[in-house]
Amino acid sequence: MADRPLPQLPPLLDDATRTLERAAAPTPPPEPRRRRARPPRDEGTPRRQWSAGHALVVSVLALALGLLLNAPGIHKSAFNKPAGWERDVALAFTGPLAGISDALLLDRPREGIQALVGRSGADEIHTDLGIPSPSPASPTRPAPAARPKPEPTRKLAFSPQKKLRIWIAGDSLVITPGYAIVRAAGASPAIEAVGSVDGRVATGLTRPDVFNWFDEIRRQVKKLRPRAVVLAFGGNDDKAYMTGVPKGTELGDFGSWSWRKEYGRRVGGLMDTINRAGAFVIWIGLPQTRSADQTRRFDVVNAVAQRQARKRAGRAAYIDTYTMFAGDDGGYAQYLADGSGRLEKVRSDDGVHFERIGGDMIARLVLKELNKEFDLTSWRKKPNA
Amino acid sequence: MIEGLFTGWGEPAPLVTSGVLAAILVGVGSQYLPARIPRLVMARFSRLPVLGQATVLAFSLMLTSALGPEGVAPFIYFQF
Repeated sequence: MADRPLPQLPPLLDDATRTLERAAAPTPPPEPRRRRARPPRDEGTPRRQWSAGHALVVSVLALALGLLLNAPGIHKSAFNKPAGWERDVALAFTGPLAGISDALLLDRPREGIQALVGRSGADEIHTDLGIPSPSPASPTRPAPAARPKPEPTRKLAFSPQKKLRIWIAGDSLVITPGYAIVRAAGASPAIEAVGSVDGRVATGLTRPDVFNWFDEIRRQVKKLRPRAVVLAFGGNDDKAYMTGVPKGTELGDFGSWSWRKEYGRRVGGLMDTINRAGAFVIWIGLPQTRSADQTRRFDVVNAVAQRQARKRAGRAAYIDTYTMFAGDDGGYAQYLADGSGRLEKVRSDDGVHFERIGGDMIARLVLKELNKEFDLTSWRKKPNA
Repeated sequence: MIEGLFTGWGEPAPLVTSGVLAAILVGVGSQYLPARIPRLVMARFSRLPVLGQATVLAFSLMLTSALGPEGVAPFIYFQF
């Protein structure tokens, strides 16, 4: 193969020969007219290429300026972090940053954009609970609103024409039972679930800076006008740190007297807010969990909530899920036997939340409580109901 | 829920806010821009000085942060 001579290439033609050849060749049939591609328009100057170092410098500068422009939002995120050294460090950095941004008016563009899209004040850290502060002169005396109301002699009656409006809100533990209550309420012609189940993950009553339930509940009861409100809180409140504590109040550790007093003020304040709006409160207590430590902490939260509900007899009721979901040994159980003795999974794999069947169990108790408080069946006996 | 398809006419949809509508309009409208416009914008950006480029990027960061989701969103039940 290597010894084989290479084939001779034809000689190159000069321009004159090409012209003669073209003239002698038969004319090809005319091709259909094709649209000629337009020549690219003048697009101005082309992109300038930069080095990686230039890109790095631009990125660092943009991040630094971005930090100043977004300082109020970054500071709020730091404030909302769980208590601990990371929060302390973040606050130590973002506090002065927000100050510099404010002094240089660099926070104004963000404020302007938020105002444009209807989010004015979104970066404000709002820890005001809007509930009465404890009176320092008489710390143990119950507030007037907390006095037990005498049991009404006649239950308020509801019917398919005048339905009992219920609204459900709380932390993640309210979500599964909440939808079970909505399903159960749908089966009763005299009950109507209003609004959606307002379940917010990782929220509670100790950190209004993360989510201010006091504002939310005040707003929703005014808007939805429910006659009964089902609440479940406390799953994220088993910690010592709280925001929105009145000035001059010193909080002790989780479960201390001062902690219980402040948490009780919050639970009671929510119940009073709802009562003042003309609604009855059903408070779903915390269940025991797979963790014995967490269960002990939940006991503290439950004790406070139960006490506040008891103080408001006739206006609030407490549902004890602690014993409802206890196994044969009185401890945590993921499966419980149903009426026929068959084991049903009532708790989710995380050992805290409820499975759908567990939610249905709670919904039955809520409906029982509603029936105890309101007349939801007499309309059936009336001929023209 | 299905009932709402037939009875919910005339009621405002809570999820269709003016911001969502604006985002849809901008998204669809941007598809009709001539291809040379983004190229022109990129070329202009590349010719800015270092501080100019950093400022443009910083404002983009600020827009993303200011218009992004805020607070604790209500949980959407997926097992209904």
